[in-house]
Amino acid sequence: MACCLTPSTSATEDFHGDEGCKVTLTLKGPKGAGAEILHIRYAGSEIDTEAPYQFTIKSGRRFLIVLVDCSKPGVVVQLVEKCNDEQVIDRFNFDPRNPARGYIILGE
Amino acid sequence: MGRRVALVAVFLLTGPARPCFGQQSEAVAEYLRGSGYEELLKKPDRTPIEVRGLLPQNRSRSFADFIRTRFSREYTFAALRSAVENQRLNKLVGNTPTGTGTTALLSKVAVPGAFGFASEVGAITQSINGTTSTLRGNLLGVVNLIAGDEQFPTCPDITLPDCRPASRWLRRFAGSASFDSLGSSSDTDSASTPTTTGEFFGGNFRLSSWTVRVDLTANDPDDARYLDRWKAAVPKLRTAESLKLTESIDALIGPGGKVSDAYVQWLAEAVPALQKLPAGAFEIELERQLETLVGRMAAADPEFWNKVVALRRTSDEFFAVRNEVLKAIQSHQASLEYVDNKPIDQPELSTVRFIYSHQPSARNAVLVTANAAARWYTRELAIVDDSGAPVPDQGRFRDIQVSGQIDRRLGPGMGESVFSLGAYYQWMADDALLTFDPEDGTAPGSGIELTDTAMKVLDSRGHIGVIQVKLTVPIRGAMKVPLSLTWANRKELVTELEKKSVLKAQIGFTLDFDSLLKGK
Repeated sequence: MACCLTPSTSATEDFHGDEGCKVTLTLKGPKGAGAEILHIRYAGSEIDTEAPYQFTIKSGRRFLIVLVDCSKPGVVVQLVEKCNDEQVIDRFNFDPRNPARGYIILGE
Repeated sequence: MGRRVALVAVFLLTGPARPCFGQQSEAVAEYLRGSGYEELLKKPDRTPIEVRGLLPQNRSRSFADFIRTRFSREYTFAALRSAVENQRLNKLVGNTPTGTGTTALLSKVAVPGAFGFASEVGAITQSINGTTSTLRGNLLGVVNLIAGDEQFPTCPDITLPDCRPASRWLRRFAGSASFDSLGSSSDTDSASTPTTTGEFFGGNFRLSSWTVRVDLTANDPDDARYLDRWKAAVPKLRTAESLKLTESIDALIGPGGKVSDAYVQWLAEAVPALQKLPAGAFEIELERQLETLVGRMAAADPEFWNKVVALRRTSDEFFAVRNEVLKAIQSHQASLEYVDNKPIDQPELSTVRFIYSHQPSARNAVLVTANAAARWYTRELAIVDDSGAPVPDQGRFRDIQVSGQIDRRLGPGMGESVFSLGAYYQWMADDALLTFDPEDGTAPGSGIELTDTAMKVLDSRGHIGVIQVKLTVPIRGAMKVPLSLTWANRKELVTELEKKSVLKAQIGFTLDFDSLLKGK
């Protein structure tokens, strides 16, 4: 399965992708970090509360929220799109006071 | 729309305190805390996605806190309005016109408005159990309500290493107050309405007890056993509160399923402006950009301030769920509690209790709990016997209590039932006391005026022991049936002649509405 998300160089969105493409996400962290996705919310109403965490790209500029949690604060975790060439789409320090990560996806 | 823009412009110019030229403010420092931005700023050329990692779409709670700090008047007004409107709605549902008129209604709204406001901003929570309603608060939340979050920032359990020392200590203290319903009112609609904080200050409730507790232990995230417990507990974080949190973030940035135009336009300016700035200049520019964003979003969305209030509330509710989950997986837990109890027909009692629990291993799901407590009468009392004659030399110390219990989950083969074995010992230093209220204020058969009077239950002093075995059988998740067998050598308020052992079998039925509503 080809990857759906292409990182954007624009200031106004994080990724762009083809409308109708199905995205599968997972979270990776260091051993001992207990990194987990709790749920994802895409375009307001598309919610996935259990693995595999998936959504289908819609046209226009839509908001993806990924709620994550880890057993330790400050660990570096990676949000990964699972596809043929599994790609890391974000790398960040887990901040428990801001457990929700938001991404703007432009569907074309 | 024009008037709203002008109003926001006035607030932007006159409301927020501005830092001296060249200095970052505490508000933006707090916004960036925990982001790891210091490492990012070492890179001279950051990608747009790296910069967006520090912006409100990825730091929504920090953004809401920033707004509360920098635009405190607008935020506070929105929060208070939300709280008062909630109280007024409850009053309208249950209220019928009475002779007390609007004065009573206004006074009831004003006082619970403060508590309602405290509830709205997450400083206190309310729970209802039968006819008892309980308000609970964490000292950190209440102090933040008074002093402002910038003094003692929120400190969820898992961020303890990153918290300020004062926040770390304040969050250990919690309190509660319980109110018992005195009976149904003549208002036939009241049975259908939930108890509100306003009703506690009316005539139908009495304060039955209040507590203060301090937690003495915390999790160690580096403990390998803690990680096992954490992984097993993660499903409990997938709750309605977590869904409400992301819903409130979406409402602010992605309303109606599409990203807010104001936010997108702001990104087009803010990201390039922040990409190459060095440390120092970056923070100042970020603060300026965040203030600009607030002005534009507030101008574009009449519900902006309400959405910010909602975002803080939903994140506090999620943090509360997570705190409870983390607390439940602590290997060792200890806390100290003071309870002031006002039982009906007994004198007011004070109790200091030490509570300890230990879960040796997550695998066999054994929990050991122990309590030790001392109890005394809160006030000096005039003690009389059943003829009304004064009885001297009864001290205020009442009893000590020691108890222990072992709970063991029996595993899938037994339907995840829990077997419990408990023992309780109480030593009453002196006879128990009952309060009574003589009609004429004097002791029977005498002219002795009595105030704060109690009567001895003679020969009730001594030792009380209780042993209980219990099996709690879960049925379909939210429903549980506890079956228990309890032996006690005697009851508490009995005289020497009535002392005899008691053996009771009990069967009950509990329904966990929280689990039911969360679909567990």
